[in-house]
Amino acid sequence: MKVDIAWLREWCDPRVDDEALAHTLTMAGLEVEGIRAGPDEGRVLEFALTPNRADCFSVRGVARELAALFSAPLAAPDAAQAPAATDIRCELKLTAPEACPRFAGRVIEGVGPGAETPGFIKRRLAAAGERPMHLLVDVTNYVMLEMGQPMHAYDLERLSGGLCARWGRSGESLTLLDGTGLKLDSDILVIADEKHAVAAAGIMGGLDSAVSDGTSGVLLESAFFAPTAVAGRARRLGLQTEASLRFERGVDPSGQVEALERATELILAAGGGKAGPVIDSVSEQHLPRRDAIDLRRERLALLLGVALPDRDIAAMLRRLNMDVAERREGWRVTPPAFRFDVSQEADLVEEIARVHGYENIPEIPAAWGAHPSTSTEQQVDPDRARALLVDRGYFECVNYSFLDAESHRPFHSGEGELELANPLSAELSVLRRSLWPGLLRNYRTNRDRGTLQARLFEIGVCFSGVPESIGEETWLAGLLAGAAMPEQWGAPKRAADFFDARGDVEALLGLGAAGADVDFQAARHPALRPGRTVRLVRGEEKLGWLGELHPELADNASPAPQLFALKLDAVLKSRPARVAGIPRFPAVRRDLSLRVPASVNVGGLMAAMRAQGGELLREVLVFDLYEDRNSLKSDERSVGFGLIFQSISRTLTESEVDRVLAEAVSLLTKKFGVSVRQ
Amino acid sequence: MGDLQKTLSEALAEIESAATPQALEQLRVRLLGRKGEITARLKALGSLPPEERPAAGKAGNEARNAIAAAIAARKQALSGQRLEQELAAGGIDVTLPGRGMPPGAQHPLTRTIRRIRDILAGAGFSARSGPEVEDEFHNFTALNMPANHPARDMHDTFYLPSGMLLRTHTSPVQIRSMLDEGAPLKIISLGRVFRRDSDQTHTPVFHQVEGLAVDEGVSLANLKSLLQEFAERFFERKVEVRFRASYFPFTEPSAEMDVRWGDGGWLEILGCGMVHPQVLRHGGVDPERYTGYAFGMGVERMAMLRYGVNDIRRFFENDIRFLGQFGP
Repeated sequence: MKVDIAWLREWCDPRVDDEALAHTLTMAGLEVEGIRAGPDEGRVLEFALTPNRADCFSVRGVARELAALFSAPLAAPDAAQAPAATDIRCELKLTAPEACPRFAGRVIEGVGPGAETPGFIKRRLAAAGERPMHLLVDVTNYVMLEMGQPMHAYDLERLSGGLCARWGRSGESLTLLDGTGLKLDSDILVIADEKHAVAAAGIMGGLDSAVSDGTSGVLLESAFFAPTAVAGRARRLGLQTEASLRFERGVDPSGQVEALERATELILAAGGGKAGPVIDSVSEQHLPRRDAIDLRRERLALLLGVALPDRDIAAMLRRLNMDVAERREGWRVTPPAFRFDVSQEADLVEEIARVHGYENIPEIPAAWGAHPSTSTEQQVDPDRARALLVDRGYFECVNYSFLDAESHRPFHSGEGELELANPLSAELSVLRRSLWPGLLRNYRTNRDRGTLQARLFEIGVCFSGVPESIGEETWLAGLLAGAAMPEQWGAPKRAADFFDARGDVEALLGLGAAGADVDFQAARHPALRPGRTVRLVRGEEKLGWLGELHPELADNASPAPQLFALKLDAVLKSRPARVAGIPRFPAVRRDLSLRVPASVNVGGLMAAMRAQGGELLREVLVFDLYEDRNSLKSDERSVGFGLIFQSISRTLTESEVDRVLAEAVSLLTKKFGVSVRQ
Repeated sequence: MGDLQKTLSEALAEIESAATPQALEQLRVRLLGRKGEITARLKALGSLPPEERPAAGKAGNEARNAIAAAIAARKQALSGQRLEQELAAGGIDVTLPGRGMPPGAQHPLTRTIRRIRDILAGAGFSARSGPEVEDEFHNFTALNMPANHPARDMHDTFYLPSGMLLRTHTSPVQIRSMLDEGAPLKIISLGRVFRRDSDQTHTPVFHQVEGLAVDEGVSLANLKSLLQEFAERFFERKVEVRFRASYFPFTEPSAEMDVRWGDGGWLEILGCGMVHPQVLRHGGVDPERYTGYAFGMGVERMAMLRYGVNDIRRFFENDIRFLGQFGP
């Protein structure tokens, strides 16, 4: 809202400069976004009003605040009451009194055709950002800016009989002033004459009954529409107007006749004519009531953290036009009709706080006791996983939670899309079931900008289930692409591969207590390359995925990026360690070089060795992997295993170790068809 | 005697200039060996008159000890030099760059969330999270934003066909925590939130951290104290703050906190207020027994101010050249 400062000072002048005036209003909750130059060297305050302060949506409203904040006098509205000079009337009916409990109006006849709008009105309208148009329209706008009461002027000759405020009917239509064709329904309040709807109540008048240069007889409407009868409609129809803004927040239900008088005065002065009697149809029982509110002295002091003197409190409330009666425990306060926002004790506490000034409330540290930290060893902090990946060269990404269905589709197995009802665009229309599409987009963005090596990860919520029942789970996903290491001397150049990713995944799994129990099971995933995909499983629990992006999705990137995804909470589940003794007896190592048929997995051999070796076999490691087409059959690999034996209770003898090793070899030979290389 | 002194000084000079352990050994044999010069002199003591023997013996022994010490010292020096030379020959070019994998970087938004969380943890607040897909009760109704409430004007909301919505703030977590845990309660709710808005200063996804303290006797004065200190800890310098009256449906009184920024103007950094009694009731808390304060801030905004980022969209591009500036 924009307000001409000179106009404001006519209503209340606190005798401080514009900047101080703006500062005080801002601190009290009427935020002045700026002081701008207005027409004719005037200055204009630009407000960002909060939705609760409908009462300040006018010069008079802001002036009332100034009066309260500066203890300055407020000019009384000086609208003279124009006596009826003609008895022409128009019936105003309250057909829907719950929506329109007050409908005031009057007829003015013989307004000079083509009468000019006075210069001061034009100037102040321009300062407020309104375009002057026609005396009758300009005056209603002027009065709205000044008093906060939106009004409408109908061309009397274009109305058929009296008016009523009623709900719209389906099938009815109305062409508005701006040319919009409106299909009405029973949720839209209208003003109607005996034949049809002539205005969308509280939003905009109709085109057919609008005043024009030829208008001489006019019916002024000044009504109170209940906020609930107007709110949301203008927005839904895409027709937010100055009138709807005010009505849906609430106008003063006692200000209709005053505004009518003010408008009459201005019209008669500029355009002549004869005013008819004021018609004021009211349904008192439907008008909003301002009930008395008890404000307790102790409660006020408790909430503010400081006790203010009684007389200051009462004085502040009275300056806000509240009716204040002293009570033993505090005050009984009745707010004025225009304060829709004040209905309970907390509202009065806020009024005191802001008029007294937040800057005058002391700063007192809370008295509650020290709280021991809630850190736990049952769950590893996700920041630990972040740090681990960052230390391994990963960059953390943050992506939107929604994306386009096209890029999303390959990453779920036909589970269907979770669509937004009102997306911003098709590119941001479905909820993500996977973090991979986002990371891939980030990878491509970086690659296109010249960063070829990418280690990326994101921690975030992925959605699951069906539209009627959407599940949420926090995942950690990673992507590796490009070189395994930055280009450097002394390290061979090679591309990051599955096993680099697997190493990172194993490190992540190692953060939780049960990382060692996770199986890497060969599996299939629609987005991953068959034969290079594993599912991470612990018992029955499925923890995530690891694999190479399917070549069809990798747009010729060679090698394709490696991807992994883990259910974060499950992976980071932990428990305090139970310490076992450190083995005191020496370990014995035996190396085993095996020829392994290509169809046999190394993981399977290791598991079999562990099972066979029992407690004595402490560790199995792979120290070499060799595929040489000259010395081995092409469907064989040579694998070097290191087996480390150790007992916690005695020194193992050579023969004992040899026996266990021999048993292992014999098992592997039988079960897997391996042979020992000499 | 003069003869002995001359022999000694010549011997010491020769030892000092011996270049190899072999030369040194030859000197030792020549001087101190069984047939060495000094040995011979000591053996010849018996031929002196008895009254001269003690003095001559002392001088002879001293000369022998001095030579032995000089040889030992020279020997050590020679071996030290040799080790030095050998090691120097095996030196490397220490100016070559190091090998390995340099670290990546944490995202500035999660970094900022962690900082805010850590500062507030010190004040007794512990972190809570909640669902991103919310219902209208927790996101609006329980927070005093009934259907058609004008404050819904401020929140352009993403809806799902089921009528659920993507939360527009993390405040629903406060309602859930009050219902689950009751009072007293000191929590922060953090996470991503969604609004139907996209331009240079708005992204449809952004992050919030909100704090809630509910206890007996919690006041606006407590809130001011905490937030003033929070601002100084976050920006790690003295900052001038001001509290300005404002409006939120879920707090009453409500305020915005501004900080004085570089050019002397005020920048709004967070909204706050005393929890509205109706909101406490929706959370199952008796507003007559307990009072509470709440505050909330946008993580992107805090990160932009802290790190000098001028376009909010940078946070979601994930350009490594941007991310890399924040360090691990």
